[in-house]
Amino acid sequence: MAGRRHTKMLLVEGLDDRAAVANLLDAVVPWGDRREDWPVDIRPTLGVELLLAPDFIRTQLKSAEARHLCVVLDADDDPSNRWARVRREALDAFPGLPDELPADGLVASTLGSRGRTPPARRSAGRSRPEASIRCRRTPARSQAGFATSLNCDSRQKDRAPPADTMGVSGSELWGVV
Amino acid sequence: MIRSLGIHGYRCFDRFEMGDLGRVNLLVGTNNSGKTSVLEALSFLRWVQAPRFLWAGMLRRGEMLPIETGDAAPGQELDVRHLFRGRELAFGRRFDVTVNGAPGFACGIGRVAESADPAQPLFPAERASQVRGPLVLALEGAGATDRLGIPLTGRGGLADAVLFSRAMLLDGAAPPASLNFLSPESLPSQVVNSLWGAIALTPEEAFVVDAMRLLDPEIERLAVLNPIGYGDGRTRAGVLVKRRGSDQRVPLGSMGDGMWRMLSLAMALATARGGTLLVDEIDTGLHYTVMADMWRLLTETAERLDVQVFATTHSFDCVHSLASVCRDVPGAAGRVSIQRIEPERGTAIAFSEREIVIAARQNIEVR
Repeated sequence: MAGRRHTKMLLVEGLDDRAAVANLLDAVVPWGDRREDWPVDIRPTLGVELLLAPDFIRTQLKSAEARHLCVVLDADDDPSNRWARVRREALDAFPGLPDELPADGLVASTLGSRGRTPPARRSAGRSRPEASIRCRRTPARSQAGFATSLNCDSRQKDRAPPADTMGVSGSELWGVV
Repeated sequence: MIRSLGIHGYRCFDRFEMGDLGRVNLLVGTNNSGKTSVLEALSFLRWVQAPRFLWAGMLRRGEMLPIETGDAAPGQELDVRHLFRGRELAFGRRFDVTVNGAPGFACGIGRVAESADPAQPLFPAERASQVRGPLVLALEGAGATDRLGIPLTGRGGLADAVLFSRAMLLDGAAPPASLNFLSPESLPSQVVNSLWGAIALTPEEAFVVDAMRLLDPEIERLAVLNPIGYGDGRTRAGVLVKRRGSDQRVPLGSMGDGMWRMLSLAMALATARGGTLLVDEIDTGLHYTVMADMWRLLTETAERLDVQVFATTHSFDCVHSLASVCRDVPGAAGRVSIQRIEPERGTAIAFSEREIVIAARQNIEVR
């Protein structure tokens, strides 16, 4: 791939989701015409089953480039199951994630600065030590969904995103559908 | 099989672990991330070859002290400080390599009592703290008797000739090597000639010719002559091929770098039965169109000969061609891994065979 390589990745289920998310983001942040100018690389997959397939998110988390990884999923079909599958993929990096996604969202960090806090890994380098995970569910007023933002960048500070909004703020990516 | 490796204090590594290793392991990472150092650490695990690989690594890196003028017979001295993280030459400095959680090799600056056997240095440092004696480079292997002390010179150098002679002494007393280290420069013809003696008229001769045919399908036969009289042993003389439809004997050296690289790779693998093959920059000289076939042949042969392979690369094509083999050729679990070296993390990022395929399909950067 020529040009600038993105360090912020946003995975969505399909092309429609990419268009919807891009339009939402375009309303709040400058959005370039070319893909390399986008503030975040929105990557459609071939459907939710592939996105949640074993090792898919786990492999994305190992990318040499991604410093932020966000996954946006529809939650209109068995959201508990979908959370369980996201959780399974993220457990290596975030041990101690709860079985159920709390109704008011979740901020989990290996630093333990906010919200539910899985224990920090002690062996150096086993995971990015300051990584954080934040998940939020919208009220069921329309098509419900949740976004999972996996902050892979050890340089970022742990900040909770505003509720029910989506955008890119500084170097922190967060989102809610 | 080496399933996990630990490196403590060697060159750029403070504490570094690499796990989930497979039969074939591709090491990736940015420049100066320590990929070659990992290969070197692996090479020290075979005790009888450790001094030779230590010597060869320092020479390859150009880690020599300036030659002192006025010396009647100036000798080359290796600057051992570069072996240790921090590059300090001080008593007690050491590095350790562990394999599968157990000690595999240690090297440090030790002392030896004036009257003691220099081959039995006081090492590790704690045992030598009360002794006032000359400094030595102390080596320890995994075996109970694997100990060697090599005197350092007055300015802390290691006389090239001394280390070389110790290495040859140890190496010569050992059974045939089962650990081969292939550098980006590939094998000199004198080594090719030496290895050919173990390959000629065995089933592995056909494997080597098959490997050459990946690059030139017209090759029918390969012959290796004694390079004496064909140059100084560092040229590519002495290897001839016969191509289909021609009666000419064609010097392999006239056919391009890739041919010599493939010959070196095939011979190094064929002679590492039951052991380890280390390859620095495996893609050197190879066009991307042959890499998938190279990986397929290498993984199949490594399995057949019970060889564990560790190779480095910077090449996108090399990674993706390995992914195609993972996808298309069924293999046992744990056959292949990619390990990304990031010394500051302390642990390599390991990609399983399944994750390698996902990364290739999704254009995820593993390097």
